[in-house]
Amino acid sequence: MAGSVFAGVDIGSLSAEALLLGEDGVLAYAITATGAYPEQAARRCLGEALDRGGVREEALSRVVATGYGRIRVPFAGREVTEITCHGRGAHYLFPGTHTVIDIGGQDSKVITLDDQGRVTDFMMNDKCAAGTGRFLEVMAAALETDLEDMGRRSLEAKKGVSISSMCTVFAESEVVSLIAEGHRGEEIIRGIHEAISRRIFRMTKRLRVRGEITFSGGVAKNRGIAKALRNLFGMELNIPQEPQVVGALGAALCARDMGPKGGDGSFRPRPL
Amino acid sequence: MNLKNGNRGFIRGLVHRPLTYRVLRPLLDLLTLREENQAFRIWIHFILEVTRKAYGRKGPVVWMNAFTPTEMVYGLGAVPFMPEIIASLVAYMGQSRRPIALADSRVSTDVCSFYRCALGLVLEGYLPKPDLILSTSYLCDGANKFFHDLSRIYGCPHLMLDPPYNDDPQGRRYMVGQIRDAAEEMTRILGLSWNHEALARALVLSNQARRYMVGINKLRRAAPSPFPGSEGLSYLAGMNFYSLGSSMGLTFYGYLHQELKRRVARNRGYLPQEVYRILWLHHIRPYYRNDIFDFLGRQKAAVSFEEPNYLYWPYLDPHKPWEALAEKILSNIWAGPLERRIRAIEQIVEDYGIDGVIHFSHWGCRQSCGGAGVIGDRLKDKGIPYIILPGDGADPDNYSPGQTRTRVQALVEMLG
Amino acid sequence: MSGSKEILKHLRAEELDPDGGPLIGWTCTYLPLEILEAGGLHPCRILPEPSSDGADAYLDPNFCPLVKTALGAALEGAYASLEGLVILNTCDGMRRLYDAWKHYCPPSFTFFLDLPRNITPRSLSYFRDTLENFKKTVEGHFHIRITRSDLVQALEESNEIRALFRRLLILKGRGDPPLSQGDILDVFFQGWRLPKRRFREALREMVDQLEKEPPRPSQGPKVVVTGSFLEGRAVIDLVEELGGDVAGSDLCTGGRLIQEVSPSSDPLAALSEAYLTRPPCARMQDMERRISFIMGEVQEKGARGVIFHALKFCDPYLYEAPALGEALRQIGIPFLFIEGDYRGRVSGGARTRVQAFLEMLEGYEP
Repeated sequence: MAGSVFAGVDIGSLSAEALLLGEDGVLAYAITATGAYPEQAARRCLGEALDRGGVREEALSRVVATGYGRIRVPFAGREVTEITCHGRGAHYLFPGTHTVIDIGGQDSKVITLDDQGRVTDFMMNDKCAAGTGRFLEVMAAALETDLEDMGRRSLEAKKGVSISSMCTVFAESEVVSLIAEGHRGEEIIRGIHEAISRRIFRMTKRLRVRGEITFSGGVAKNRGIAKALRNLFGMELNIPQEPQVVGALGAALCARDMGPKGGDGSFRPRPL
Repeated sequence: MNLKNGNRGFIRGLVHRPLTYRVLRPLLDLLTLREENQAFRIWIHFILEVTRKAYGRKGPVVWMNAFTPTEMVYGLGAVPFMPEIIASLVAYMGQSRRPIALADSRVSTDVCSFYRCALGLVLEGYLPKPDLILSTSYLCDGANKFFHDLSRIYGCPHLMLDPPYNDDPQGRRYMVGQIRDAAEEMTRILGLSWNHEALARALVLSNQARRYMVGINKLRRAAPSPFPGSEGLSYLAGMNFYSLGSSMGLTFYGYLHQELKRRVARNRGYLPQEVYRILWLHHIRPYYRNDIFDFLGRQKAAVSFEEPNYLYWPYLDPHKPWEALAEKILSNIWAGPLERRIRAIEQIVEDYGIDGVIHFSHWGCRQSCGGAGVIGDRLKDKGIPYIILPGDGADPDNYSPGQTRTRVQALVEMLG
Repeated sequence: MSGSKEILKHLRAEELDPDGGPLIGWTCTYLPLEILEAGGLHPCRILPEPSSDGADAYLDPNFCPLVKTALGAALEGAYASLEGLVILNTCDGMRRLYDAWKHYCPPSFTFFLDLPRNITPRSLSYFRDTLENFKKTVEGHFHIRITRSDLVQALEESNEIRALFRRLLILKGRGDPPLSQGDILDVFFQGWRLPKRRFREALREMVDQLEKEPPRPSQGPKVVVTGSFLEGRAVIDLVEELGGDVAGSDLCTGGRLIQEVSPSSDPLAALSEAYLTRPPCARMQDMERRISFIMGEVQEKGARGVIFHALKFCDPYLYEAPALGEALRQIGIPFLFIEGDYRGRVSGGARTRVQAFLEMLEGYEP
């Protein structure tokens, strides 16, 4: 359909993303905070993306919602999980992707794809803060460092101090003790990055991970994590320019590929 | 993506070579030259010997769990291998993290860390391949499926004895029948024949060791405690599970008995000063480096006795081997009704003059931890201070030093 | 005309008749209820209401949530009307449940029934003798006699019910509103609560009615749900809500329990054999046997995937999952592992996983 614009909205527990997809590719996107009300967050975020792209709401052919708050988006034509959407989005950006590692603010996931970019298996960590952006946040606070500086500082250390606790709360105590014992901040930070990466790496061991690996989510902006993961996997990682919108991109792709309204009667989650 | 590197392969090669164990023996003898307790050195010799035999395939290798009577395997002329004991040794050497992490890629992290450690070692190819796995469904569900999964991984048969819950005449007959069936299967699979003399001899050796065990347990009632619970929970329990029916096992217990007689005669406790006497419940303790026992020692609290060395089985009649083995299995106090375990604990508390009790609730061990509440209530009825100490025997990443210290210290304060 | 849903609704609302014979609580479907029924006793499955106040302090925090909830409920007096309790030697959790329940709040009759893990001629014979022992103990305590013909009659009645269930299972999708797999599960639940004859009437009415309705083609990817204990229909309903078709269920609270008991001159031996050899729960030792049952179910129902639901800390199921997953992967069937904590509601995380799994099965081609 000429001139059709499709939108994907990804409502996470902390941040919301919206992305507009046109004939020629990505038109615009927006990243906002979710706050307490997912529906409002979705509207706001989509509104911002529309403004940026100079697209009127009436021009939207279809919207698909994904993420934690996906069932609270009444104007979406369908809701699809963030697993499928991250798979689609990563494959679109890097067609050789066979594994997606997504580390967000409050969860992390690993997704394996076949050669056509379809999901073959997945693993989620949504119960425990260790191995998510939250872990970094807590540690940054304990070290009185800006979250944005953590990655850079970790790269300044030649080696990291080992953090052994599995749990964020105990790891924080451990970090505080390490500071008191006089360890260098950079080495502690590097240890933190290695701990997160190890945790992610362990998660992937349950799946048949193979290359190429695409790294998405807010934490993908952290060069320290990227480097630690690169070392553990022994290969380069694809990192999108804006790693946080991969889910919204995937949702927009689902919207585009949904076909005419009504479909062929096959698999259909309950209508919203 | 490949994590393995050349070093790992080299170490694996060394571990599989029988020669390694021959070489280790004089080295370890040298290291333990100052050790007064001869029994400790026999333990080292023993573990090197069974390991060497298993890797060298000096007989069919039969993997077992801790509560399957080893007399049966020694009597058959096969080589027993106990992955649970090996896992604790690996944890003791500080090497358990890596295999546990590998096992976590296959099985849930909620299950026992000893099984995860052993599974990781299996997946890494460190352990000697079994010709047969023989286990009993005592004491836990985990063991049953763990060993069965291994038999799938290794492609070898798994015979599981399933003792009845009640020790009554019907149960006995059922048990004896199962042992007979298993014995027949084993000879068929392993291509061996039962030599009744060898089996009788294994039972005789076990009985002789048992007599020393009775003596040792009596000597340990002395105050001050002559023998540390931390060692009771490590190599003494290890020999209890692994060596009965072997001649080296008998030698070990003989030496230990002698050593303890000496200590008691000289009124020598293992602590410089002993004020409190503690009983440790559960068969294991954290084997990686930890501060628990040193801390207790500094508080003048001796761990005077520990659960695994409670002697629960009677004299085994060598003329009726299958009945004897059935009897040994069915007298296990940790199987069957909890009441059996509780009565034994109450007996120990009385016999050893126990002041306080620690129940070590090991991660993933439902069969033991599930009884901790009722046990505690019974002890509290008798006014015995008691704590449940949650922890992990094999996984150092699951050890919270602060929380552990708080609980143990609280117990000591309760005693004061 | 009252539809099948109406019948189900009435069943749920029924109160138990106080004169319906002594209530005997039981925990595991390996108990041949026929023995109790033959004695005029009323077996009533222990199905505690999900709650967050488990009996952690009495057992252990890292423990089967069903066991903790059951003990918690017992301690609060939820089972005060029970005159007897029969717990089986199913697993470590159940053993400790029996010990604790007996210690803190036992009803007047308690029995711990041993249950073999292996299936051999010897174990079948042992289980038969164990059942005989159980029967004699029940007779002694309740001052009754359970004759051979009592047993045969109870067996025949149970066979009728099981046959009705076999018919019910293939009627999924019929009626208006259509009978769902969740409804079927509900019917099982009512069966464990109500007096047998009353239940059999209602079930017969339901099946007769539904068989008159036209079949409806199923939609969405077919899955088989395997696992232990579901505390209700929430998980099954979720899969169906998200567009999956639960073509088969292999559960301790569902589709595993419908084998016929063949008539025999020794009803106890017949019971021993039928119960021990039916499609196994993971607490039985022979993993291969269980895996091949599940694979058979997958192939028979044309399922595209398997959802494995284990209660947290359930060792028999946790240790089995890798081998089962491997075997299914080898025949190209994806496998989703989700854990339940017996809270009665499905977590957001489980919802996402199930939905992602269904999307994956569909190849997400809308």
